[in-house]
Amino acid sequence: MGAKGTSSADKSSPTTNSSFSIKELLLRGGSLVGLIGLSLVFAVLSPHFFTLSNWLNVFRQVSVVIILASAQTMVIISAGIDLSVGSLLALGGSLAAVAICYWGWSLLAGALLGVLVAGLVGLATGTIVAKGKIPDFIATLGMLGAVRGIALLITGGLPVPSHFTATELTGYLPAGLIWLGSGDIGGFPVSMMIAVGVVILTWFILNRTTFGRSLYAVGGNREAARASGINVDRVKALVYAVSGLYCGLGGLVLVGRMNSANALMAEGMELQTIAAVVIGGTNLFGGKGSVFGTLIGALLMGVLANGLNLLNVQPFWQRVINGLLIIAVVVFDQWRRRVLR
Amino acid sequence: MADQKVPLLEVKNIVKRFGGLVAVNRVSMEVYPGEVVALLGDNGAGKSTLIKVVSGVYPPDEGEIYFEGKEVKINNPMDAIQLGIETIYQDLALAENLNVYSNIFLGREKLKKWLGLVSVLDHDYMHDESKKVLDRLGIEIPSLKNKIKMLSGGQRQSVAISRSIYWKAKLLIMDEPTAALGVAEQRKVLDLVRTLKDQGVGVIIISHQLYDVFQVADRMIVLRRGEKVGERITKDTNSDEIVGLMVGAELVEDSKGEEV
Repeated sequence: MGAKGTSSADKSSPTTNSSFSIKELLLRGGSLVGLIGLSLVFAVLSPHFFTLSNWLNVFRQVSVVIILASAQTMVIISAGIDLSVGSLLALGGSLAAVAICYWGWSLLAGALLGVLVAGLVGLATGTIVAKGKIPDFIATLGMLGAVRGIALLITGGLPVPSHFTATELTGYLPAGLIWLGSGDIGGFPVSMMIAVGVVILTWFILNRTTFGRSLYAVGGNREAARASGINVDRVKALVYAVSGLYCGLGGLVLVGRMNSANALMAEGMELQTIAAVVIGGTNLFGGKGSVFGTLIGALLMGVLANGLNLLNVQPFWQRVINGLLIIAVVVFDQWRRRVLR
Repeated sequence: MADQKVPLLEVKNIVKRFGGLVAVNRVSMEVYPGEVVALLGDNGAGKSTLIKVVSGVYPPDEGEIYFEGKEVKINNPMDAIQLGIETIYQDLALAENLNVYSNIFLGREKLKKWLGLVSVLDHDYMHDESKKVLDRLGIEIPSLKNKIKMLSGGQRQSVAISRSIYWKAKLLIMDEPTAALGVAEQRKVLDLVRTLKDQGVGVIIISHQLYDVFQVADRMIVLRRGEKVGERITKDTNSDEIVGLMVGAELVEDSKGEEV
């Protein structure tokens, strides 16, 4: 949606004489140009960067962020923000692992339980936002803490499975779950395929369903949406429910990758998802954005982390660079919007 | 016109309060098919609140609403839309971040089956249908894929009106339809109002531009501080009298006896 609209605007407005310039490239390409540029820099600096195995590694590392950031994209397009995604992931993943390891549930039943409970908690958050008329930021900030606490209560603060609590009968994560996070199909990580599938699903929801249209409408002009007969409260409640389901799925993938569930996993991931969404060009105030942008944004952050690791940059410096990158991207985006206007 | 017996819309003794403030106080009015009724009043007189009651944005605290002779409850905008009441708001008409045809179909998107399973948006259908209605009304917009943001005020108003026409509005409510428009665009919008009137659509129009109102309205209702203070047939009144009613000049109130 977003990209299409702006590109048609460019065609009708007079542009500079030079048919190809760096400025034009930056204006049109946005974060994709950033991703390619950054990749080229790392490719020059490190011989290990531009290898298939390294790229798959990047994907494996960002797949969970991509899943959560896809959910975040939908929420932000509807002019909300979901700070509870990391906690919901921990809840869904921990609950699934506990059900499978300690309660003897099957993989499928445990996985469904984790995803559905995360979805229901998301629905509850959304209902609080919609019916309680409190800001999304506050409701999800509260949930960030509360849901993390529930995850800790469920696991007793211990990793799952743990040698303290596991019995001979139970106590091990099934191979199927580990395959979700660490497996391969034809050399490509399963987690990467799940992430790409989630991105495509999200694109479909946003662009091909009434619900998706409602998200843009509510985010762009809440009152116009309401006056057009859209049930704004329902849309708000639902988008957080969908976000919860995504988080549950992300939880399964992360548990599979770490071969263990932990109530404190994905702490702070909500900020990574917001950064990915914003870097991807989605308007933080709603109404405009695309999930493919978010995919690029998540990859950009993944490539940066990976490249800095390959170059042996100190982790402390990595945090500094990461933070500054987010600011730089938004400054760039503001400039881009001013010029394109 | 007024000779028809059953009003399209009749509201009786509508009251709407916001906390301690009584925004609309026991106001009654009716609109007949093919009639243009102007709702006039100074800022804060309760005009916008009254139409938002009719369009379902604010459910009334008291009073009854009759549509085509039957009593109806309008609790949300969808109720109003389903009755055939379409509203064009001055401030919240369209979603600016969406394109033209998405706005015409907003909240009522056309779906098609995809692979026989999933219902998906039928973008082509919505685009083509929108194109047809705009063409029929002689409205020119370069591309229906353009976002509303990129259109002029007049084009936006035209899109909002076409939306109402496409959905076969029986009653069209327009809040300040000509505010912020150029002269040519104002004329265009007023022409559209006349076209609708000829088609038997009832129109309620709110406007501060008395000149416009005198051009299109059959009847005028004046509100002041939430109360109805007068009702006049356009051809029997003049702008001095109307302004007098709006601001509450004693002289005018004494000379005519229609005060509530």
